[in-house]
Amino acid sequence: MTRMKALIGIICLSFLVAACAPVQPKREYVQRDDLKVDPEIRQSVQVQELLDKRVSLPSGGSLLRIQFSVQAYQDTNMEWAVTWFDEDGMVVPGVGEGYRPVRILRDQTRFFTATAPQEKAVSYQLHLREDRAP
Amino acid sequence: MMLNGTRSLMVAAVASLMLSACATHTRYVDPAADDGPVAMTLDYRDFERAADNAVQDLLSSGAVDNPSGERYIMAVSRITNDTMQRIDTDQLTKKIRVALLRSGKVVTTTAVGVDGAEDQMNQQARELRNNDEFDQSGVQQKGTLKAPDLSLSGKIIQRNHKVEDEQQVEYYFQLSLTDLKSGLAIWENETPIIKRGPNDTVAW
Amino acid sequence: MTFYSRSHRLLAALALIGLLSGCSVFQQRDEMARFNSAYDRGDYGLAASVMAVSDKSDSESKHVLQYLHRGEALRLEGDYQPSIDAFDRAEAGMKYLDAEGFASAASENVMSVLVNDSTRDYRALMSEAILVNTYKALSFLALGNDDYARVEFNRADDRTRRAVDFFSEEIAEQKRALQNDPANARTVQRSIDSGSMRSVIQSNYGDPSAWSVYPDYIVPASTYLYGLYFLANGGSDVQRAVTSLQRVSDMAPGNATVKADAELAEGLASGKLSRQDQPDRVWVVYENGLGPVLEEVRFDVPLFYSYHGDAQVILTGIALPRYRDRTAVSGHLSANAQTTADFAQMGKVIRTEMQERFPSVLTRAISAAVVKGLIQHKATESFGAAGQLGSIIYTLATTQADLRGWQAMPDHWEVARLERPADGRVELTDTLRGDLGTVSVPDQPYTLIYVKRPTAEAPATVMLLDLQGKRPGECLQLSGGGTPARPCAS
Repeated sequence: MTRMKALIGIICLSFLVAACAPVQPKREYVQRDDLKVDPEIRQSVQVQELLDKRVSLPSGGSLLRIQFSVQAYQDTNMEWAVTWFDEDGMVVPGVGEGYRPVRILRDQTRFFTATAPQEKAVSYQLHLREDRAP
Repeated sequence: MMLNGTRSLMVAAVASLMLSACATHTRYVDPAADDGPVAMTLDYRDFERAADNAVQDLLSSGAVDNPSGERYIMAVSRITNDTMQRIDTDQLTKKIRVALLRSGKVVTTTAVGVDGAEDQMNQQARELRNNDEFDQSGVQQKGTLKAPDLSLSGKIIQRNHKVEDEQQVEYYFQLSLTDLKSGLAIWENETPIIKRGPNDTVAW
Repeated sequence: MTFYSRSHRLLAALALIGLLSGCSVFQQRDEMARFNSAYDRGDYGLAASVMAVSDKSDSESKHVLQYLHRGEALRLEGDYQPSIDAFDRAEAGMKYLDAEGFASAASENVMSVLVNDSTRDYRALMSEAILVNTYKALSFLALGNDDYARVEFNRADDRTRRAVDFFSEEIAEQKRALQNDPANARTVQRSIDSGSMRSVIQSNYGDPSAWSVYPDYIVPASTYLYGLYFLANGGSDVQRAVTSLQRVSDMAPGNATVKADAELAEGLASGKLSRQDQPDRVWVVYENGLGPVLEEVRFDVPLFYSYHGDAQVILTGIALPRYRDRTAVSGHLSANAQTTADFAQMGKVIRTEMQERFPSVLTRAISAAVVKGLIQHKATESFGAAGQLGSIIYTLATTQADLRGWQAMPDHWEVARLERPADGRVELTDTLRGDLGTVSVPDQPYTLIYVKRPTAEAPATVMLLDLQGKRPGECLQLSGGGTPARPCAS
């Protein structure tokens, strides 16, 4: 009986300790999805294509540019933003962090483009979410 | 009729008491997750959108990419505030300047401006020349300030209309980049921001 | 609860309301009298202090009138920034009243019908609001702040646009309000539509449709200054000067200066005239006299009640507000022998607005009369002669027209234009009273000499402004009679 209690005590304690230990983030580079669509709007819109290319500049450099198209099954207010990453996977800052609100009507397909703010951007993540503005 | 009047008065009084009881509290807003209401006036989101639009267009146009690989030097000329609000046009230009500087394509001079230098220290630091109190090896020499290649100018316009029972406010962020060598506008951009809301009162 | 005890309480409440409203009206009138006596003499410092708002934490909407009067007195003192602050608060108050929720507006309406219109927070006329922005624009020019001057001119222009929409809405609003209360509405509507009502109003009050009004709703002085500003600031905005100066010229067909200005703007906009070839110019705008004030017109009107199925006509008193012109300073102003000529009258502007508002003012006055008539009837039924007497006293005490208004507006505006003399000296003369004094105009292409003089007893306040807003202005008081010019703030 006492052994039983002690066992339970140890188990509880180990749970506690485990809870306190910090979760170690993965240190290596994670392959990110190019595209994230929030579940709230998956029912109403679909991303039909997502293209990227590098636009060459007069000095010989180039900038990453993406284009994507969205089709809606019903009138939808949504927002989108692109986050850019460099070779090491670090975020490349743009003008701001805000999302762009867009409204897509039923059966409408809209095309959007975005250009990276710096030449060092090599990858990106496009995020589509519900527009929650009141 | 009379009693209705007094009664509605009391109802209104009670309602106003209740309203004042649940006052809002102050909190921080995260620009990346701001789902707050939109005002008819210009707010930070509008400036950010306009600046973001302008910078993307400017960079991808190649207008600020120097074939020699060096950075262009840009001066900020006048951005006219043609709205009905007392805004500071630096809210727009600063965002553009920061993004352009980060891109490595353009650097802005603070020694030249429409109303004189943006940073007075450009001149004041040079007044130390021949002052015995200062180690002259660190004092700026003559002929070191760089003249601008490009000039950014523009206008923020506001036009209001009544659309049925609502008020429509149209803002246009217009920007031009002039090549000072030729006087030609080598890049131009307009970002419209349109809002529709109640027409009860003025849009400022 | 029996009808009796209810009615007792009601009568007591009414008596209290009547007393309170009477008090606030007298307080307001005393404040106005003190302001006017200082303002008419040109003692703007004192005038401004009369209208000081002691409790700044109070909502601006409660003190719109005070801020309006204070703002203009401070401006004439040359205290531009405090004047702008006061006008900003007045504007905030107006905005709050425009946008306030339905509940508080409705409770105010109940009060105003039960008591009188002066219990409502003061709702500024559109023309007053337009002038507020114009005065602020001039103050910003005086401070050399061109950016904010442009903002205020744009606001004045947008308010002009809104004014037209506003009028049609006020009428629709009144109709909606009537539909919410169908029983009284029928009485009110029948009374208003009746021929006898119309003739009673015409003989006692006058016919609003016969007033001399402007064909379009604009405040010509504001639109003119807006035009001058964009004429001076050129660039792509000169087209705005063309449109607005042309509009003012159409409203003041006899004025040669305004016509010449419109032509100048047109010439510059089309490229026929070159800005470089133009001489430096000086405009003298003279804001003259005291603007119209409201007076009360009381008379009896016939109301058509249907009571227990019988139609009855009851004669009841109503009180309506009517504008009365005050005085202007006789004579004109002459600047280096160029004499100013009239181009805009405040009374005409206000009557244009009042003509549009009149149906709603009349409806409110008659609604109040209908409600009070019913009270009288009920009180007589329940209390006999005593009740009747009480309710008549109540009706008399509370039947008052809303006579509030911004009294620092002028009677009219005049204008003259001249070339800037080489030495910059412009001599201002009152054509009847002689020499006022000399101002020296700085070397700048577009100068506005803005003169305001409420009465002949007051000195002329002269503001020397750079229309391009590059150089801060100067404010002088010229009394004439050999007294040298002195700076505005004493």
